[in-house]
Amino acid sequence: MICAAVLAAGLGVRMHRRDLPKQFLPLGGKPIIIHTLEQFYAHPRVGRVLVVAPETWKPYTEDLLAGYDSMGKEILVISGGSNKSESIGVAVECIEARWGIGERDILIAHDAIRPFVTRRIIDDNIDAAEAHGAANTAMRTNDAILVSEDGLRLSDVPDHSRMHAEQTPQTYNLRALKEALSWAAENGRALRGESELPRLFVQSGHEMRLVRGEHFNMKIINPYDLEVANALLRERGGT
Amino acid sequence: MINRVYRLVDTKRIEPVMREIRDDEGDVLVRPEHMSICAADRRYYFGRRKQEILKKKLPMALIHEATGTVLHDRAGRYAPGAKVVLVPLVEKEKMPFVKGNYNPANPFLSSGHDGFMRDAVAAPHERLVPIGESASVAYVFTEIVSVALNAIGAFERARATEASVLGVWGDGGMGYVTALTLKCLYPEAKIFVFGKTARKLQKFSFADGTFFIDDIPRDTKIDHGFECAGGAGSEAAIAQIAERVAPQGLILLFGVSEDPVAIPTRTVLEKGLTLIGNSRSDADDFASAARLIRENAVCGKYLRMLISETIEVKTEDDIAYAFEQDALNDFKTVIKWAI
Repeated sequence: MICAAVLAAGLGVRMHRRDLPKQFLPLGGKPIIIHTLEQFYAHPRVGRVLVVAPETWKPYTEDLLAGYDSMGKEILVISGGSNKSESIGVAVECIEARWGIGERDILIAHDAIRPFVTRRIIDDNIDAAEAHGAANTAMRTNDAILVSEDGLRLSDVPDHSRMHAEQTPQTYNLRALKEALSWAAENGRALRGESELPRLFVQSGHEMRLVRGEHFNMKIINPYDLEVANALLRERGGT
Repeated sequence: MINRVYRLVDTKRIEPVMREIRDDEGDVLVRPEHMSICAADRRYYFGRRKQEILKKKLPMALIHEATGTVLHDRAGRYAPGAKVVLVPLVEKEKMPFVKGNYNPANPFLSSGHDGFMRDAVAAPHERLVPIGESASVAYVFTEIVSVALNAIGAFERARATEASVLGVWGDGGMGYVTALTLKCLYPEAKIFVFGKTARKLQKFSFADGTFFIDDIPRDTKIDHGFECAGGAGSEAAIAQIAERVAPQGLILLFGVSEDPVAIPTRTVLEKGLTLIGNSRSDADDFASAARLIRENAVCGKYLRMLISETIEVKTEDDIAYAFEQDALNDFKTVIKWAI
């Protein structure tokens, strides 16, 4: 079974809209999260969909989802996780508790605020996770990366040719992910940062393949992003 | 649902645009799976249409020959995963006595309206033809077979003389499909194919005879002729058919010519010939074509041979590669849509 986890636990601080988390803001004719979910609803290889929402917004998320067609997919809203890595951990616990984890089961975790994910990206993620155990979506960076320890002075300039910007989905064989999470717990490693999970996964001895993303698979995190996303969808009509 | 439409914006330049599929756009959401490049797509892609036409029609997604997989059917008639052929004719209006494909009010996708190069297509049931779960890739040619059937329907309605020897001019994809469809529908008739390229003519192994257009035996006659040459070759093909066809024969025209071509009216008048124009097809022709592919073993078997090359498309660069390769291929280039 391939399960999608749409990660919607953010509260939209950078969007300056504390009254409504960014994943619920309208984009074109629907909330952002609905556009994102529809890409997974419509994917024939995805069997069920989990939405990881903030605890306080769980009832709202359930009400919102009930108003849209889930195209026959089984969908469940759960709460938890203060960052992406923790949310994935919460999704794993939920899957194990409810349905158990089979040897070939896959979890494809995606940011709710990346509604422009494509069928090809999802397919490549699933294919890579099935063949190699895990996949992460990335693009080569156009800009050089500068490292600064204090935000004031340049500390390092990593080799640009090795730098990739992380997008989502992140996709895992669930058994391998469970092993990696156990390894992290045994070694006192917490899922502190957004990208901590891929790091721990690789450090625990597992392989993670990179899948090419798209520049337009953007994350809508601030008002400018939302304006760009709306501009991308501006054109309507057709046959 | 957010959908990417891969539009030709200028000669040899395809760019994706985002578009939202609205709930009222169609009952069935279909993911295109296999596509076939048509000569019309190629003319747009390489800018071989008149500038004023390109200005009027672009940007536009190409491709009107495609099969797909149903993702979701709001009405529940199709299960997810069902295979279908996509019909590019949008029958908005009906005109008395006029077939839908000749009604200028009816849009045709990939001619002024976006074709099937999209993530997903929302279509009503009447623009889908079911083809069964284990559908062969040959169904990607349902559209081109339906065009042949549309013409053969017109041929039957107009025919007043026997149809023992049928001649097809043109050794490309349209010629192949027309000759093959005639072979399936008129198994007793002799099907002769007239072309100019030896390696292409070799592929018409099901035909009863193949001839080079510059070396046709003097005594070769036909009852009716099907012109599938197109372009500048249309003129010579029409002249040859008029010369070889029996009195009161029919000349079915398929070939698109960008510029006007001359018609040998003296011969047409003397023999009482009828010229019939043919273009596109309607949903009924599609259903008949899918049935022919399914039920006629000869049709299904030889249609698969029409594929020159299958190219998996995962990026916009792959689309460009597919069109570049198509220009080199003798017959049809099939795209496996994985973008």
